[in-house]
Amino acid sequence: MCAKRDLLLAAALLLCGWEIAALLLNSMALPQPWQVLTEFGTELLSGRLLDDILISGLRALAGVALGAVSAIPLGLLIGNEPALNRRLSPFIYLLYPMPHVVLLPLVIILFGIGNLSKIVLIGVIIFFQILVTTRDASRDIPPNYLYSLQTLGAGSWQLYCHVILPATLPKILTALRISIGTAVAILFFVESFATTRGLGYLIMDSWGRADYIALYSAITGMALLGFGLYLLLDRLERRFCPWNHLE
Amino acid sequence: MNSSSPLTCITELFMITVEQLSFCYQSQGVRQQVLQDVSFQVKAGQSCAIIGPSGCGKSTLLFLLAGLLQAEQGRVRLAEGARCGTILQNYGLFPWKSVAENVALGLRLQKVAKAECSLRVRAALEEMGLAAFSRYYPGQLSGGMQQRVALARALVIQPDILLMDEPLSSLDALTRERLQNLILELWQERQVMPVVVTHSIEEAVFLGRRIIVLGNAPGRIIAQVENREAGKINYRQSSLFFQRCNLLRSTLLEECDVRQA
Repeated sequence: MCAKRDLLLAAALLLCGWEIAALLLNSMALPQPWQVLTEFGTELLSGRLLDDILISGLRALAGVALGAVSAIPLGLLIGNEPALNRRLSPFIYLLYPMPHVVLLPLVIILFGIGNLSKIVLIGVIIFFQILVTTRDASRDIPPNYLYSLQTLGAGSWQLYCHVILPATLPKILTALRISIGTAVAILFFVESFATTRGLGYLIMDSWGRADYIALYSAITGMALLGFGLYLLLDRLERRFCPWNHLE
Repeated sequence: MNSSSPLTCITELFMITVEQLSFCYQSQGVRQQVLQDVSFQVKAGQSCAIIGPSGCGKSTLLFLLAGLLQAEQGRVRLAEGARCGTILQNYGLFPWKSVAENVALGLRLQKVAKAECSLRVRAALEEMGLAAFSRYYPGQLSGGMQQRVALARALVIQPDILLMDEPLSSLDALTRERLQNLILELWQERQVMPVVVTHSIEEAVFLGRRIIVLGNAPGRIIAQVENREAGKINYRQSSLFFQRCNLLRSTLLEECDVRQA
């Protein structure tokens, strides 16, 4: 209850700051929040904006899911199998720091200009973030946990199920929450070409028409999308890691 | 197989046999000898305490007994069919599992039927006075309660030997004394042989029927004390108890002096 009240208060303060900035700047490039929120409400009720939010949301979710599903098992394995770590670490060192967004032309050649290339690019970028966090988290598991389970007669599969995955889960979910911000940023980039649907397209289109109220309405939609996905992961974390929220 | 040969009978008297055991850790190409030529035996029905200065390889010895490490020289032999329960430092409880799930884990890994598993878990928790806390997470319990959960988890698999690595070191004096009594009860009433690695001289003398004293690293046995009175009523208050403690203290102090010199 207290957290909800604080959240509403923060939102109200942000709107106040926006209103003051709009009044001070007095430029059509920064409309007042009530104008944007009215446009947002109208477009949402018409159904058009809701469609775009859903399309963008599905692209972001699919990209994050693709990145997570491929990175989590690999990260857990690399973190716990020294031989695999030795072989793959050089590749991670070389590939992780590069700006993966430059792979866009290659991704388009391989997967076309439709939804798949957009999802794959988000997935590739998220993949490295989650891989590195998962690998480091699984390497940092106190060995006592592993020994304790071994003394109870566990094999390696059981070590993964009962210790390695649950011990790393809170950090994996934190990595996913961080990647949501990245996914939404990449979404804007990948929706700015070869599509007429999605919030990224709406932003670029409104910008091109110098329709700043529609532009900020789409930006509001993107912010709410990111917030919604963040909230979803927050719920998942509370559901799957209850021991992290003990009173 | 002739199970009645005299040699077999002699071997079976011993629950634990350690023969010329040596072990070294290898880290970044550097070998560090931890244990050197350690040999001892513990008879069935006895208890054992292992004591020595910090870094002398006590925990490594326990890990070798538990089968978590493999000896490179010498060997560790447990009586045929003997089952080990192990409690590591800081209890090794899983914070992501409830108390009941922690206790049930050993049985689940042994694929014990669900109904029997929950019966045995409930019985173990009741025995430890934790029945009301089965749904709690370890993080919600005090140190003493966590230790009892660890004991329940080790006991639910019905071990013959209970290996414990400094099990009571982080507890307050009163809780420590209560749990020492509990370990004693388990030894005497349920015939679970405790093998306790400890820093505490009093704990070693109170719990160890046989006390193995390790010297400075690389750990080797500098004394083995037969402590026949361990486990007797009011032993803790007797003058013999204090004499044994003092004897052990002077042995360990001499060893520390050697290291400092």
